[in-house]
Amino acid sequence: MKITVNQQPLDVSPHRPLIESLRAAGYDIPSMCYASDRRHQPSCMVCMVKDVHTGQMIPSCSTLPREGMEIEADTEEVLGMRRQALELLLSDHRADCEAPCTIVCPQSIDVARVLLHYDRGELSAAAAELGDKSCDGCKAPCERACRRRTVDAAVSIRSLLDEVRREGQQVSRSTSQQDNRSTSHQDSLSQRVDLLTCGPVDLFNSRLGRFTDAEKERMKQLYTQPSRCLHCACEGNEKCRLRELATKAGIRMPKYGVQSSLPVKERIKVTERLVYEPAKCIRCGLCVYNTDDGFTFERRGFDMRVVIPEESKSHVGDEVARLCPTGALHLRVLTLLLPLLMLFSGCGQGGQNSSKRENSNMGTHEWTSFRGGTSLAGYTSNPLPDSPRLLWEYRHGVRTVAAPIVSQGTVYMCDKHGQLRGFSIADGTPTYSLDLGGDVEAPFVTADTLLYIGQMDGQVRALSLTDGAELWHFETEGQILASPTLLPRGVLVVGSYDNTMYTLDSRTGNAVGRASTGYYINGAAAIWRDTFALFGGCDAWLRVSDLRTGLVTDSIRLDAYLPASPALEGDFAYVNDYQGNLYEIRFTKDGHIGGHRKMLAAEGDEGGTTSMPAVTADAVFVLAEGRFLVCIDRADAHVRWKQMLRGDVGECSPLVCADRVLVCTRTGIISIHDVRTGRCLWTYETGEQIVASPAVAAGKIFVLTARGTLLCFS
Amino acid sequence: MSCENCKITSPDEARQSIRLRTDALIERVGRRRDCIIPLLQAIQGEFNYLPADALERVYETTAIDRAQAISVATFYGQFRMMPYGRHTIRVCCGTACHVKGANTVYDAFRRELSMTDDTITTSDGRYSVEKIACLGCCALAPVVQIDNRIFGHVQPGRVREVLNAFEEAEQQADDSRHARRPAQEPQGEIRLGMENCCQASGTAEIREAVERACRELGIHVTLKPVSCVGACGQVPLIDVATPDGHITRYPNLQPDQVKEILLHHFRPASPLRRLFSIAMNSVDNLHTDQTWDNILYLPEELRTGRLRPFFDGQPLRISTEGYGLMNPLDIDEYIHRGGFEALRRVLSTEPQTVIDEVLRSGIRGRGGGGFWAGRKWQLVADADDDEKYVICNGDEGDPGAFMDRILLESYPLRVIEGLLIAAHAVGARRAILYIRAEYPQAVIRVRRALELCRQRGLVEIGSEVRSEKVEVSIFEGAGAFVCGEETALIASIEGRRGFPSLRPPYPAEKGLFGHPTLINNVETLSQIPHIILNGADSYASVGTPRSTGTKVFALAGKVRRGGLIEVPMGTTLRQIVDQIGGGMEGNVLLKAVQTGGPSGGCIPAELCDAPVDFDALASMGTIMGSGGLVVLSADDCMVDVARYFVRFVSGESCGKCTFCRVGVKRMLDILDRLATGQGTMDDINRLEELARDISRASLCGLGRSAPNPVLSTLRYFRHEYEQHAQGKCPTGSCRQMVHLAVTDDCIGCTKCAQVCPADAVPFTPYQRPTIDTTRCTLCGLCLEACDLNAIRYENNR
Repeated sequence: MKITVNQQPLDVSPHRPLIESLRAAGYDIPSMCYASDRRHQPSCMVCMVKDVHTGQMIPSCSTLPREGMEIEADTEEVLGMRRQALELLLSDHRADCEAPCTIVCPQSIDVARVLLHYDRGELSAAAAELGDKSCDGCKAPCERACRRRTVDAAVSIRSLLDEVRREGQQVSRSTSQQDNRSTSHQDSLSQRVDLLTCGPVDLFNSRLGRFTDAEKERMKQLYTQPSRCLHCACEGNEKCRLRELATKAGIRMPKYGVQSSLPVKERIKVTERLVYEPAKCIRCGLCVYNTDDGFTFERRGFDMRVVIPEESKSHVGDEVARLCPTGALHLRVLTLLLPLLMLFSGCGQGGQNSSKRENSNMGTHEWTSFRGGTSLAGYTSNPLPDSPRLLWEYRHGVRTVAAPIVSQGTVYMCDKHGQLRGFSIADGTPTYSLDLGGDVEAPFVTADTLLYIGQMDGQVRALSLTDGAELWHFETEGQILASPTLLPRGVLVVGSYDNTMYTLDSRTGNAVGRASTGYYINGAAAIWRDTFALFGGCDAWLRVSDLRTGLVTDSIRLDAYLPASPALEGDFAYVNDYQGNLYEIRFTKDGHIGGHRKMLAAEGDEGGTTSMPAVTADAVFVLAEGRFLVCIDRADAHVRWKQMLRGDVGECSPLVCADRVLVCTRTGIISIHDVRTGRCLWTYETGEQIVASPAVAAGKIFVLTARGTLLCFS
Repeated sequence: MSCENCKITSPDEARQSIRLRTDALIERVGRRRDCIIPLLQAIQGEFNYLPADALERVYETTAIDRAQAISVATFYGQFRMMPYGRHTIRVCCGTACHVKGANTVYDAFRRELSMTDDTITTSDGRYSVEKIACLGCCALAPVVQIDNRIFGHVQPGRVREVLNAFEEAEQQADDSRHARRPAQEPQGEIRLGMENCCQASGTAEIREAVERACRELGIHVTLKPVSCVGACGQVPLIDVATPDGHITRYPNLQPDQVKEILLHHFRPASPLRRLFSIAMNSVDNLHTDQTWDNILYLPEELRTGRLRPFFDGQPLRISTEGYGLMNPLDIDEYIHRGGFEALRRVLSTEPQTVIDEVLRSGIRGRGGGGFWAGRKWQLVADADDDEKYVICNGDEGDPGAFMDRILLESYPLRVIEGLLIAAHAVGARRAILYIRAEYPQAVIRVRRALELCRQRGLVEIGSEVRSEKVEVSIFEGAGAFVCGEETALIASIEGRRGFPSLRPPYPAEKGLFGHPTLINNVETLSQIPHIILNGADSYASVGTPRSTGTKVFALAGKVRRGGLIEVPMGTTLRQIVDQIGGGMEGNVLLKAVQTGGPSGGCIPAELCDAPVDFDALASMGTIMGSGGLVVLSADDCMVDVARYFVRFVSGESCGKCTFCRVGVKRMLDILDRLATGQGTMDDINRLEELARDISRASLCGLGRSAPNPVLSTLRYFRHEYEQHAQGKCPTGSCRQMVHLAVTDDCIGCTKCAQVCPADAVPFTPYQRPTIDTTRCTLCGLCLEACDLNAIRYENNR
């Protein structure tokens, strides 16, 4: 078929859309919402050409040629209209391509990237990124440009960079031999940086604009990691066609400003790797048309947005990121990994109101590790029911010592033979069952639909709760009795009876580091500032290891061996030894042990305890002397009160829930005490031994006895 | 509705109940993906909103998945995810209502019901308040609908009164209803319009008064609900027809006048009663002054004089033939007056002959575009496909237009006849009447009319030429203006979001479910029977050469007599405004006439002598549209009018293409800046550039015509934009730019202070008060209250 393009005749196939024929003929036709082999609908209008007969602009991606058609493909007029389309798209695209700090740096330091490495704890990578570039004499325009400045105060970029320089040098000296991966990594990074800084193209930079007051509040709540950096730079900026086309069109500042109806910097986790940021979406719909019951449009007009209902996330695969023409859908890359903590789900206020509820109560509905968090503090703001009554119980009859876990409305228990069971927390209906195929005594942790568990045969395994498939396993050489500790950013720390504390990549199961000790490791590791693990061992040493390298950076020897795990609160750790002494250990700013003191000295022989303390802002709660619950003031170590329990204390540690203390004794009696006075408010006799730590979530208490009876109180 | 009467206690039982009720609905409506809109409508009808549990049940048991349900339920304005209050107050924000202050009425309701900023429902759950695009009672603006009751001329000060009236009526409705008396030999007939406008002005009360009076006086008359008279501004209106064939018309009737009229025309049954009632009436009249302005003694000229030019200006009725005379649902009467004769003829004619006739008549589509209807018919008829569809497009969503509603409510049989003729002519076996759900009365009447036609065997008759039968169904649109666009309309019938698709391919080639589809507007179809009966030549002789026939308009705005009118194409706007409309209300100057709703533009007064036809309007930068005519006076701000329409389109844009989704929003941003005194001269140029680009690069007709209100006002009233850029709104319509001030004419009567709901006017007897601008909400109540016109808007700058 013959058509006329720019007054030149062109022979085209009648069945191919114009864009294909034009591109084949050498015309440069940009597009965003079009993918040749995928379903699409014309929306972006970036590919438009002019129909000379009607004077209208038509999307070439969806127009089939007609006999005698006459079009203009790249006249000034057409280019101007395409530019206008880009301007409009950019005015609704509220995001930073590059972080402002990076843009303004006179030394061309990629500040954003340095801070990203810093927050990930990759000091060597951060130092490599920084190179030998100096900040001397610089008036720190980065801090003036910092978006955090408008929220509360700018990130102290200068001093953070100084810290990276100092520490990075140390770390790189000690680890340069060991970690080949990170070295090769640095190479590729520096290459990229070279390309960016020395390249001839002046790339377009989209701007986020000002935060509203509500947004400022949200930023404060979300970005609490050590550097306080908001990580403005877009993770998907390399593949972003919007940026590429805006650069080509010579756009410098968006003509219509930037004003979007979408929440800025909202990051929704779709799959383990796929992240969706609505504020960057241009509503082209490629992800909607190419997923089945996955992404969908919500509302209409300017308020129209693409959403992914929580229930539909499983229908979406990672490959959809490739389709997205902007950074709205991108895969988390290892080098550009932001803490998962910042990923919060939610799909707008409209269609699904359930997401809102989950957001506000996220903490109270989940209990994903045996002490409810990585600090092992044994403190939760989840309140206990006022007068608990037994809601339901499940009698398994098989010995069970691992603590119960609550995740997404299901409480999980695992008996000694590795039978994992799940029950609906509402009524105890069995909803889940899985045979792990190995004995289990250690508590396990969950994250979304993944389960991490250490077994008696020495294996650490990651399993999908949805289908029971094993993602990876890692073999240690001794039995595992302690819970793994899972860091949100993808690090799993677990100790074994092969005397080693392992630091694993939770996505792959590869060992990032191994810290060798002198004897069995019986307890779990508490994590300080997401960077250092603190753990005891049966050799009476309390050790600190750096999670970035897995190496022990400091240690202290206590009076007796340490079967239980330490509890952390702020810069202080509390740990019981087997004799019944309670120690307080202070961390210095750089992760070293700054000092220690004995909070409670053991009296006599029967003080030996295998439980761990619970810590609040001002007090420590510990089981002592066989049958007492003791509250000790953290400031001056005096005993505030001491309460005799019914029955002997055992491995099960106290748990502070807001203003109550929950204690289960070995004898099988559950009691609740007032935090201020220690007065016993409620008791319940199970008649069975209790070993496992209780779980508190969704306003319910879950207690598991050693005979495998799971009790739910509400 | 709510579960007040149920004995449900536990949430689980409630959930179970929702699931069971949903199952029943699914069973009734269907499980296919294209059933989604009727299904959601059924669910909302059952529960008053879309409960999450019901939706879950839909995912579980039908082919509809979550993605589709979210996408559809959030697209259409009809659906809501949250329960509403027991009664819903809908404030009409159509064009006519807007220029008469609908926003202040909305604010007044919220204030009266003590509602805080972002709620839609009162704390006691009794009322929900929302704005609605158009109720189609433009002649009685501002209009408010509470549940199914419509109230006209609702000024902010009347809000409490309206609420009381509603509560009272609710109370009465609860009381037991009277049983109908057995019919006796009627002494005559009283014809009463029962359309929305009439109801808004209190026809229900008149009807009640007539019934009561008849009971009291023992008079037996037939009370006949009739099709819209069209004189919507002069209602309630009754026609009294006596057996001798004499008809007396009483416009602007009050309920207390009814008895006297009845006595005047009819004799009460028994002499004793006659005597008694005469005596009673005389006593009544002695005690009141009614005798002097008694409606009976008004000369004919004075009583109906204002109406005569209204009707005289409309010599030829095609779509509205039988106005004020025919009972919309009396099929015998319709047949008696020549109805279905055209269909009968078509059934015995070659389809091509019918199409030729339509082609020759030169009729153009009344929906807006003005495409030749005959050509469309030809395309569909020529298409090679066994399965074809005909759709009657009744998704009239323009604010300020109500032609389709009245045609469907008053002349449903004519529309059905036109639809059947079209179906037979193009060889379609399926015909669909697409009616927007905001017109419940239209849906009910058309459904009833369809039933009547079925009973008479008119629907499922095969033609003599082709033996196929036509299957007619009704599809209720779910509240999306964009679905008036034919490809979006098809998408919604198929159970998708109302996204238009790129044309070509046109629906005539590839339409509903991929088959050739003929889509014609309600009005187009209602003209077809006339063409067939009277011949194409007779039809073509009416109007102008390129725009033939008559056109129905909804005349509203600042005109004395608004209403539904039908005039030959080529009538000038001046004629319409001056002769039919009776000139400007309050003798203010005519500034412009807005045609075509949000897709049209404003024609300035100096161009109003141009004939109204498709081409003339297009050359003036506007369109015929579906036929809304809103008359604007010197008191109306053109920037505000443009902003009103752009805001409307911005809310109704489907969101598919960049220029309409973002571009229209950016136009609105600029207009907002101008209307709040923050605009610059540069903004005007930017606005113009943006408007031109949007009209060239949008995907569908809605987007391409969206800038018309801006472009036409920029073309004729650019100086007003410039004044706004300098911080002045000459008419005071742009509320953020003005404040209220008291002039020297004030005598200190304190009326303003008494009415002010915001305590912004101090109570200062015999002194001129100073209005506290920080408290003033510019509701305008004081303006109304002041007898001396001593309060006026002044520009802030």
